[in-house]
Amino acid sequence: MKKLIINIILVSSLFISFQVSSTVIQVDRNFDGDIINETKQLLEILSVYNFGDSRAWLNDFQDLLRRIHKNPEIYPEIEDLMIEFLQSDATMEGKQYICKQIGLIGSKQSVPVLSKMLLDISAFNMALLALEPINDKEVDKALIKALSKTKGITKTGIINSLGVRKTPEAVNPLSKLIFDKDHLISSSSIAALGKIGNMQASISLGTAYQKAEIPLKWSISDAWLKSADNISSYEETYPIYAEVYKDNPPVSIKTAALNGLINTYTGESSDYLVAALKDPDPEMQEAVIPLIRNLDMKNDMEVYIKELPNLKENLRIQLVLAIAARRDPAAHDLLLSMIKSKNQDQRLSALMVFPDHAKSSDVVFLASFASKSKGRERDMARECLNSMSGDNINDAILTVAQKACPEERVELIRAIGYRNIISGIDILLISAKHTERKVRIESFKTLGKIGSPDYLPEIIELMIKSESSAERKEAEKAITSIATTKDDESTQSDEILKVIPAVKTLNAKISCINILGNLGTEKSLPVLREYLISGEYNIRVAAIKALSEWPDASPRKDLLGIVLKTKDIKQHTLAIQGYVRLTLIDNNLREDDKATALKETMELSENTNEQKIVIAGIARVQSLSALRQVIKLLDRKELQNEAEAAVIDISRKVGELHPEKTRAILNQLLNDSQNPEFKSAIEERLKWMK
Amino acid sequence: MFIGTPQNFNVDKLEMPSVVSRPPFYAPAGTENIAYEKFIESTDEDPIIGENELITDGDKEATDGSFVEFRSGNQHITIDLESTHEIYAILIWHFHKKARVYKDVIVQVSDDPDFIIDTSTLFNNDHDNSSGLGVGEDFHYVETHEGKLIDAKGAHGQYVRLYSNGNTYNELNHYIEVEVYGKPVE
Repeated sequence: MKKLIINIILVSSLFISFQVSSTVIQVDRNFDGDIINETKQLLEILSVYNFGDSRAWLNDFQDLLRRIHKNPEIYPEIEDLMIEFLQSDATMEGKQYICKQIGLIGSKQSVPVLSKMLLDISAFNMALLALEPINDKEVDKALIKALSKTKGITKTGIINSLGVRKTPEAVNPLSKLIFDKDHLISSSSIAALGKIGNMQASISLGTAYQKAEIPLKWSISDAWLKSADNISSYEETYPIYAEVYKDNPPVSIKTAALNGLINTYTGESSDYLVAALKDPDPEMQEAVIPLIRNLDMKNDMEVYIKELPNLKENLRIQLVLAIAARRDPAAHDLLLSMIKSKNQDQRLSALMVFPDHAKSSDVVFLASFASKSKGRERDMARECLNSMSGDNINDAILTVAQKACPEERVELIRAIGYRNIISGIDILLISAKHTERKVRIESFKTLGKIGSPDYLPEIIELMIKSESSAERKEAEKAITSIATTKDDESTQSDEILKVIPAVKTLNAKISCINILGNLGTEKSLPVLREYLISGEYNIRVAAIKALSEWPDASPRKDLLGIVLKTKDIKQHTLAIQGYVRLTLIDNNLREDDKATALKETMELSENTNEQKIVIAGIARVQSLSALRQVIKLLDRKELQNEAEAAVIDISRKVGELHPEKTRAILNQLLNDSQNPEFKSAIEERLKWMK
Repeated sequence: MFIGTPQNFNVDKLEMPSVVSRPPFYAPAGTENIAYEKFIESTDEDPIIGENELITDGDKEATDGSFVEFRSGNQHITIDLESTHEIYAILIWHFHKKARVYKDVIVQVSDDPDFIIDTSTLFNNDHDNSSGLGVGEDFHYVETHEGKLIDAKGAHGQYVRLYSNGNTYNELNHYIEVEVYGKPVE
């Protein structure tokens, strides 16, 4: 019976605790603006908070805290309420939250309560959370007092807080703990002394360092060095760094000691650094490099440069790059030497930083290097030419470009473009007439980048005189590019329209027509329409192609006219291609109209190639009528594959607009088709539509 | 060897890469790469990365500075061999540092620069006719360092055109190198 009663009580208490922990915290939003009252209300809510409960109160509390922080005069009152809260039977979670807030507004007022909490293993952490930031000597006293009353993890926490607070009064008690048997207490005391870092701490650590054995010695040395960093007198700190350094500690500590040495040594710091470069430990050698890089700028790098031949390759590269990072003038020749080395890693490393060091005298070398390299090295050499920022670089490029051999000239012409050297346009115009095709082509490319409309007549003239199609193509691109920089779009084709009547050479005329097509100005249309009926076959073809790529559907009917009239298969096919394209981009046509237009085009197609072009166009029309059209083509064996593909394509788009009808059509096809692949594709489509 | 996490290729009719090296391809004596340093025209006239010249410069590495990147969508490049040639094989390297499949790859040879008359289609894996050149029967394939070998069977032409329309990794188009093996027609 007794057992039963106990069980009932236990179950009931579990039930009750479940009820409490699952309480939804209701926040009263009818605050009257009185901060004190609001604090009381929120504390009441917080008093029953457990992890996992609703945190609906959090926003309000944070809002309240913001208001509290704007009114420091009420801190004492609020702190009183919080102290009371800590002494209540509120949940630990609630108290933890409040401890964090006390850390922000607290004073020595809170120290007594928090000091008691230090001795409670379940509460010491939150007590430290509150105490550590409070700027009052009473906190330090309380922490030191608690040292002797605590042990283990609690004591460690207190030691850490004393270190964070840099409590000078803690040096004595902490010094006694350096050799504590508890490793946690020992190491945390050492670390705290390092953080406190005053002269007294430094002396304690130094004394301990002499007595300690490895590995404790190294922990102490680390803290000792940290304490030395806080002492301003070089006379007092230098011996510390020297002592630790000579004992050959692990690399990280040795590096810190070395850093201290070179900052405090009154003699030549290079003595130490050069010696360290020769350290038997490769890790130490590498660790020295950043120290050299970060030396004061008045330090001469010559002494380190002398060591380069003695270093292993990897270290040599790092040292050169460190010297280069200092923008040291000596770096230039070193980097150049690396770029000329047989090792690709060296070349790439040097090229990466060379733009900051390159001079105008390097232009020739870089152009030559770029012309003979491939892949990444070539790109990086070009990048050097493009971005080197020394004096007179542009002038050097222009000067050298005029005399360079063709391969190097090509590189320099590219650099003129990337550097936007407008004054180089005259050189480009001359280079566009060079005997070497590569030079001419590159010149046109660069003219396209930096040329202005003022130069159009001259560039057009050069294009007209070009003898190879490759050059003419580049010239067309350049002229198009320059013409489109004109603000007034309607005038972009003016220069070409002016010269085209007088152009006699067929290829040049075609190039002019191509340009008119690229520019797509309204003024060009009548001219191109005339060329559609030119007596010269290739001119007619060029005109059809130019109109086919028009930016809008204006020439659509012209192309249809060609389709209807011409007997020539090439013109017919090109016109169909263009007509299909322009139909699809015609904003005046609805989808069904496009479908109808393309259906008519299908009837005008002369062969399966043209029909396939039209089917591809119909496949891009989003309408049921387009779908029905391609279905009619399924019976034609020569177009079956294309028609099936178009059915799937169109149904993908139309299925969203007309799901029921599309589904019905596809189901019918599934029934009728004999092609297993097509049926499978339809089934897949139907699955997606569900 | 590919870098990066292997991906599932969501393409139909896929030919997996061979685990052994491709056997030698035989062509008549005197055959050479006639595309080397030839002029290339592209539908994307301003590539995102690189320049057209990289496609026939002899560098087949999939490293920075060795490939051209064109915009998304159906794009093509045309190599002008400067005279009619008898072509035996064409080798294509799209980007192959990561395993990927390029879509709607079509290769044509013609003497007509517009590829209307007397055009031979040597390879076509456009399975939905999105290029408008007809549904192709050839399989998709995974790009490798060996390149894709297309048997041109002695097709005649001055121009070689190669199409693509994105890949399984992104929508963009890439070329590292194209080689065309043949001899001038006398």
